[in-house]
Amino acid sequence: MNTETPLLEVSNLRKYFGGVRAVDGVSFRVYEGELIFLIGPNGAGKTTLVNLVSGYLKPDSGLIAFNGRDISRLDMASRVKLGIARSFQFVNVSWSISLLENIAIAIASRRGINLSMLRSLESHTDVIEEAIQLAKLVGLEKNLDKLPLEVSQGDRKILDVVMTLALKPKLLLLDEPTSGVSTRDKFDIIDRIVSAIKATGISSIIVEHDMDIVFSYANRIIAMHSGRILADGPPEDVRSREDVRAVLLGGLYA
Amino acid sequence: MVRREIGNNIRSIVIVAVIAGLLYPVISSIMPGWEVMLTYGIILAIAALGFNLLFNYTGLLSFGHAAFVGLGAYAVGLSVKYIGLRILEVQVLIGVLLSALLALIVGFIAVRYRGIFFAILMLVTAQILWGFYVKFYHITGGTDGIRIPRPTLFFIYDTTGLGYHAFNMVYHYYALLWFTVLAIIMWYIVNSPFGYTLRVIKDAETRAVALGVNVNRYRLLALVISAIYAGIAGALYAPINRLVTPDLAYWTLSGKIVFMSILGGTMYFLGPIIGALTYVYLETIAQRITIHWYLILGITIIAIMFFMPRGLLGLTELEGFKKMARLFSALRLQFKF
Repeated sequence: MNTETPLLEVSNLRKYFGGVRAVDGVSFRVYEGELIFLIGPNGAGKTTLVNLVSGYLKPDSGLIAFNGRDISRLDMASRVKLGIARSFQFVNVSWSISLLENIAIAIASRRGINLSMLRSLESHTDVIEEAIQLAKLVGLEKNLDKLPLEVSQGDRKILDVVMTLALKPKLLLLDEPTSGVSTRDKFDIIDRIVSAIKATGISSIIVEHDMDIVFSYANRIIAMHSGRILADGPPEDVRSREDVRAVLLGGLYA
Repeated sequence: MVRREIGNNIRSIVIVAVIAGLLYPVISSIMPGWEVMLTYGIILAIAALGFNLLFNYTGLLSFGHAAFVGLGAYAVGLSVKYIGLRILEVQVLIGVLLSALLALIVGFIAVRYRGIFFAILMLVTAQILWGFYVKFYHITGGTDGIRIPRPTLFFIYDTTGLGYHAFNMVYHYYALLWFTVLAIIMWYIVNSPFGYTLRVIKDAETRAVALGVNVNRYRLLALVISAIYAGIAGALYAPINRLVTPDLAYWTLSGKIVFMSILGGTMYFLGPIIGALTYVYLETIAQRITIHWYLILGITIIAIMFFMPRGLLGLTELEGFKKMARLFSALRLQFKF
């Protein structure tokens, strides 16, 4: 067992929507540099958990501590400043500006120059340069001048993740970074994302449905079902659990 | 960075300003009386630029920009009437301060709402002010309005002695100076990190929040800047119109500002400018044809929405226009001009 202070400590977290127990008493810890995959069938509470940790939703009860500090009542913007960044299940970027400008705005936001008004974004060459470097890290440098609607869904999903990476967070929450992408392209995309994460060493929680991907990349898996954590541990432990197989894997990975 | 939008650069703003400057003597010699519309056009273009900062870049539709135009105009009117102030730059400054203050007060509530709710809150604001100008006639002169004497420009240049045409001409270039400076500032605003942040707020609000952006504060700031532009337009409108009436705060003027922006093409930086310049002539022509000129304008806007939803500047994206543009640049290369 790890003895250092966890980066993120979630204890007994609850969020009900009316009668639906979306997140029902969830507890786990995330340590520096961990790459965690969060799995579970639809409705298991994965996205709600991401929403709670990122501050998009407020929990009904329970505690979220980041670097030992209770953040359960902080709003999303304050959590971003502390170093928790998230991407979205659906591509959530500005459609009227280029990929490069989308990334540049995320960088500008981290640097606190969003309110700069009397200089064009283009003339902030340091921001543009950083955006290009970041794009190269995930192989997005080819289409930077295009609008999000002019590139493939895969590139859009990558853009969504890069905008999150641009914030240089300590904890990265990726909600289904491969949703809406063909099975063939999924591996390519997750490959680029995971290598970028590993290059930066950011602790990450990735929500993912594709078990092939999960078992190839994870060094820790959290499996959820009906708002509770079913299993939490290394891939081989989670895979060998009878109940996880019944709920999630449908016997495929027996 | 590739910007495929036509005219989204400072050079184009200067070109438009130079054309508006050169056209004035031309129109006044060919069609006397029509040149003053050009002055109205560039003044209204300032208001439309402010409107479009909210509409196209922030995603907020204001149906009440006349509130700020009216405030700017009444800042001139009331300061003349009660303290005899005639230095226009000082009056503009008063208009700016009042507009910004009103935008802060209304915006504090309004920026928390989107879509039709924001539009209606702005409309209500303008109508309340309109009601004030009409009903408090012992202060505002009611529907008779306030007569505006000739202003003093640049703090020292008293225009009282100028004849009708001479004043109109001087004032045209004076307004054009304001327009050029304000349009260039607006260009920097919409192309700055702030302007791009507004676009992210418009297209993907939750993303903006996830980037740590305080969305409502940015919306409020955009509204204040937008109001200042409309306020300046209102203040500049007063001396050329020679009269300030409650009409300047009425919903029809708010509607006209929306109309102008759509006519020119809200997706383009130059759209509201081209739209305002076209609109003033369209309105004048319609008024000369029939007393039912609103009908003509109504049909026009329906036609625009059906046949050219991107407005006049949207026509530049047609293949024919692109061919002509290519031909023009080929000729330019050939003959080096």
